[in-house]
Amino acid sequence: MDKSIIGANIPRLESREKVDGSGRYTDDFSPAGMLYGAVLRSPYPHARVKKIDAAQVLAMPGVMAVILPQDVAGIRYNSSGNPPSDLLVDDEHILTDHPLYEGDAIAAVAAQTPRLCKEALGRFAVEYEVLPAALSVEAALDPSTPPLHPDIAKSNDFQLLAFDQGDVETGLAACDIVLEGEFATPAVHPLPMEPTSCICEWRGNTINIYATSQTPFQERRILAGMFGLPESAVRIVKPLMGGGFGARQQLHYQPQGCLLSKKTGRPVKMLLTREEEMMATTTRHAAKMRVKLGAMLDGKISAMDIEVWHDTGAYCTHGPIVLSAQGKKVQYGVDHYRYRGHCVYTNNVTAGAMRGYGNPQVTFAREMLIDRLARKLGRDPLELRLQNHLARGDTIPGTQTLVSSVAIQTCVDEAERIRKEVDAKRAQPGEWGVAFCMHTSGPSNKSGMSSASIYLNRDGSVQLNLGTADIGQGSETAMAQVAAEVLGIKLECVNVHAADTASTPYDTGTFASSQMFVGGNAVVLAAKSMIKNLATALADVRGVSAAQVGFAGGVFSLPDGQCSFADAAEQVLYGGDNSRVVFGEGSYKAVEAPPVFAVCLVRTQRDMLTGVLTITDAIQTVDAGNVINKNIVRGQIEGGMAQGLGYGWMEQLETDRRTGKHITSDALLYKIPTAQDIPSLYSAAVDSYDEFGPLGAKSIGELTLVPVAAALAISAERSCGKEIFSLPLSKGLLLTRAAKEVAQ
Amino acid sequence: MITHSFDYTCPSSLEQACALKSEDSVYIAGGTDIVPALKYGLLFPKLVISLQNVPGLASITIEGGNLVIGAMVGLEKLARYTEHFPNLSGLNHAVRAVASPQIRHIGTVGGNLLQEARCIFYNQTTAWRRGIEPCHKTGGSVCHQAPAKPQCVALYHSDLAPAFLAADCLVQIYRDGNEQQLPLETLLAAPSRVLGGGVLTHIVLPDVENLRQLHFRKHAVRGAIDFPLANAALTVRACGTVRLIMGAMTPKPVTLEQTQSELADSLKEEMPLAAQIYQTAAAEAKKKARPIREATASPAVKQQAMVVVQEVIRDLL
Ligand SMILES: Cc1cc2nc3c(=O)[nH]c(=O)nc-3n(C[C@@H](O)[C@@H](O)[C@H](O)COP(=O)(O)OP(=O)(O)OC[C@H]3O[C@@H](n4cnc5c(N)ncnc54)[C@H](O)[C@@H]3O)c2cc1C
Ligand code: SF4
Repeated sequence: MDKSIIGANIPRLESREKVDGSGRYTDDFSPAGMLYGAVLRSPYPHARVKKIDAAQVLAMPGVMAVILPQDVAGIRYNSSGNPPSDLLVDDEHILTDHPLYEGDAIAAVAAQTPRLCKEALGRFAVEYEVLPAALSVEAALDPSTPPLHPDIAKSNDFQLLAFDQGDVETGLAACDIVLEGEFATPAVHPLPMEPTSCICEWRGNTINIYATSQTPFQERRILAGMFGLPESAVRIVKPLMGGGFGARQQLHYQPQGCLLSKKTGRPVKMLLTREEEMMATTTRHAAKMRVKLGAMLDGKISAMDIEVWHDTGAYCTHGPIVLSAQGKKVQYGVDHYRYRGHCVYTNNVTAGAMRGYGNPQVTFAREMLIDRLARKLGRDPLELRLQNHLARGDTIPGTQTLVSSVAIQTCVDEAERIRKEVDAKRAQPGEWGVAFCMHTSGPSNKSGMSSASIYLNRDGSVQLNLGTADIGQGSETAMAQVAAEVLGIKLECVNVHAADTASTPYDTGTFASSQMFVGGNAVVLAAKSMIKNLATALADVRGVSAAQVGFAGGVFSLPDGQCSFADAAEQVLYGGDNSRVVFGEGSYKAVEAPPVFAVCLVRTQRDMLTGVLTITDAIQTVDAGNVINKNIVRGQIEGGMAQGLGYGWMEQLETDRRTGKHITSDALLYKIPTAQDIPSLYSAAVDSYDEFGPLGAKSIGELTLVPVAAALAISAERSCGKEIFSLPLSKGLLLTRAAKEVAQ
Repeated sequence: MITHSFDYTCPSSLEQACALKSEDSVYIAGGTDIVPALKYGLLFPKLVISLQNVPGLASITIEGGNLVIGAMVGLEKLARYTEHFPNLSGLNHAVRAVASPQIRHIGTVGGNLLQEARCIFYNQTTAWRRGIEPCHKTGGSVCHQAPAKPQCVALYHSDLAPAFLAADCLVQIYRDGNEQQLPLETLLAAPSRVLGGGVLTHIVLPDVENLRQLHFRKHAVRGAIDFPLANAALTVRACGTVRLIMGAMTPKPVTLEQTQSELADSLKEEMPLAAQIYQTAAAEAKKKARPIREATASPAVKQQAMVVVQEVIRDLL
């Protein structure tokens, strides 16, 4: 492998334009004649619209169109950007007269300016009948609570996902020790810096959309179906994007935008406010979990019983698929495993996809219990976990998925090495919390598919077209590196064009940490096909048989000598009668998504006088396969640690029980950690190689967030000597960050 | 987004500023407190009067042994200034504890003291507030925090106020052609009544030399861009006076009299502090606190944040 390309510290291709401000995000586009759109939202978590009158709105000069629930009454859909699945219930409306959460869309307006839109929203005359709201899983499951969607399910507990291995009851009965606990984790929002936005233009029989979109091809499918158009008539382009974290793995307000555009004949821009972002996009599922762990005195964990209730909010979106993914993430070789996941409707904000997709919740509960087991047995928490860990060739409990590579011991060794260094620096005593986790590198239902095409230029540079959406994680850079490596050309010779449904080939979407593994494999195939086609063309031009042309390290060998990639391109494109245009193409269907592993350690120390806990250090080592780009991987680890610390420490979408109001409506009330809150971070991606991965790579996207909250909570539990059952810790403990110089 | 229209003016003297002030107008300094209120549709002034061109309000001087801080002095400027005075380190900590570098570069000292009390049911947009009955503060007659309370119980979160109160600061107010000096405490007890349309011109920290120690501590959920869960300031003067103020737990900062007098006694006798003092402080703080529900932290954690009073005591040299 060319070490100047693969595994190098290559800066992201788009970094410069992001930093100098020339990069263009959705809001930077303003097609001629563009209007602004806004959505009237329910101020109540559950209500019925008895009357709605838009006369005053329509009378405002500059207001161009209004749409009301009756205009879209027949349409039901599921906004999730997953490939089609029977698990996904079509329960959403474009607009509703029966709002099921605070923020549910009731009407939409298009006007000449954003200010007119805001004023217009205040002039709808709406008469509401306020209805009782179920603001928790417990309330939703109470027999006296009517079902939210009686036409779809008689109970709010509307889907059950189950995975079994062995016989968990017998398994637990045979154990020397059984530990159990009921755990709870909150709904959280990823708070991408760029707000959710789209520009929709319905012209004649076609729709053009710019949008913050992780899954343009799925969104195109849903919109085409919704509006009775062929997919070819719907074009979705994803410009530069300021984060997604799963929240944009689905349609947001493109349906309303499209209809406003259809009605006005003009492009319509919808840009959410931070308040709408917090209340009317999607969150990580809040979870209630009942977990039992059975172990023998020698430390062998032989049974695990997990039952989870997810608050999916008012609509299904990803709900059942999140549970399905959650049930398949056990990295310990238990003989008996039972997982039951309940998807429950409530009148809370709708939950959807978020980095980790069900995994952080259960990892928190499971790792808490494993740590208690370690303390009970007087065992080292790292060593106890290693004793029970899956090895290469094992299958993941409850699934058929094989562990194709695992470098967990190296992760532990590296983490231990760092820990010793840190301990030597810290004067006061502290407690380390340890958590392990596993994630996969692609949808765990094997629905991941991606494709790429490569066009060859005369000078040997190439155009790489990808369906994958870079949402800020850097996948375009990594894909360019893979293409350059396989083709044996310089990185500067690869130009990437991606995530435009009209000009790039299909990709399932940016989710499930799949871009490197699934998208990367498609690029490898496309690059190999390019080499094959170029070799054939070169043979034709040079009048030799294809079998006589070889390729290695960017150089073609022919019977009469060698020829560089660029020379080959020149000869084939301008080579007389046999010249031709050469393409490469690759389509990759994920068969198994190889698991990735992380070891996370967080250190806290407690003030003896005040009881205040200080978070001092956090370490994470990962087995993500062969590292394609060190910068990107480090960014993912540190970003995941920051987001995971926020999850464990302070983040929570809160609803006031008495008024039913959503309290955390902006970035001041909903707190994510700032740079000042992040303790000293140490990270490493250990040497590893997966035979199925592109150039040995696996994935890194979600993994790094998953274990952090657990490690933090375990450290806090050890420091305080009080068992912890719920997140975020700021609900029960006063925490602070290690003293740092205050930024000036 | 601010949807209502208003006029904006920058008078160049205190006389002009006061002459323009009426029921329908507001003063603006850095705007970091009042602009969000305009965006949230909590105020509808017809005129916004900026104090930025009024001369004489933006300097820090020592006059007759007193530290005189202009109301329009930026927080960052005060932070840099106080770095040079070891006996003002607590004031420096208090300023640096405010919000974020961006806000400290535009926010002012006067604006900080005159910031509105905050509440999760109040600091919200018009659209958000449509879903609840108006409360005492928005023209209604209920409190969503404490339905039984006949008045607003929102908390005052200034980080500077406890430090200034502990240092016995006075304020100068310009009104009707006169400049008047009052204890800061009096101003904070009823700001709009005491100001009466006048302008806060200066904060006077008396007898700086005499101030031996000034300590400040704050707990917030996060380290920046966050209002205090609780804060506290403690001063010791050469003459032996001790002041201990706790903020963010009540509608106005409170003085912990019993603790401060016990502290004064033990300092007088030059005895090491008895462990008992920490309990006294905790108990007095608890008795005086009137916490309400805030975002992210539970009431129990808000209570726990009162350890700030123990922390400032521990900071005593
Ligand atoms: C995100 C955020 C975080 C924050 N965090 C903190 C924090 O941690 N700690 C903290 O203490 N504060 C915090 N604040 C409040 C912040 O607004 C104040 O700290 C700041 O100092 C206010 O100053 P200003 O000049 O911007 O005030 P302005 O908004 O201009 O004015 C505030 C009020 O004072 C009045 N006023 C101002 N000057 C005068 C004067 N000279 N005479 C008469 N009336 C006057 C105005 O009419 C207005 O009512 C935060 C604010 C934000 C937005
Ligand atoms: S404390 Fe009560 S009255 Fe005051 S703003 Fe909050 S809800 Fe309104």
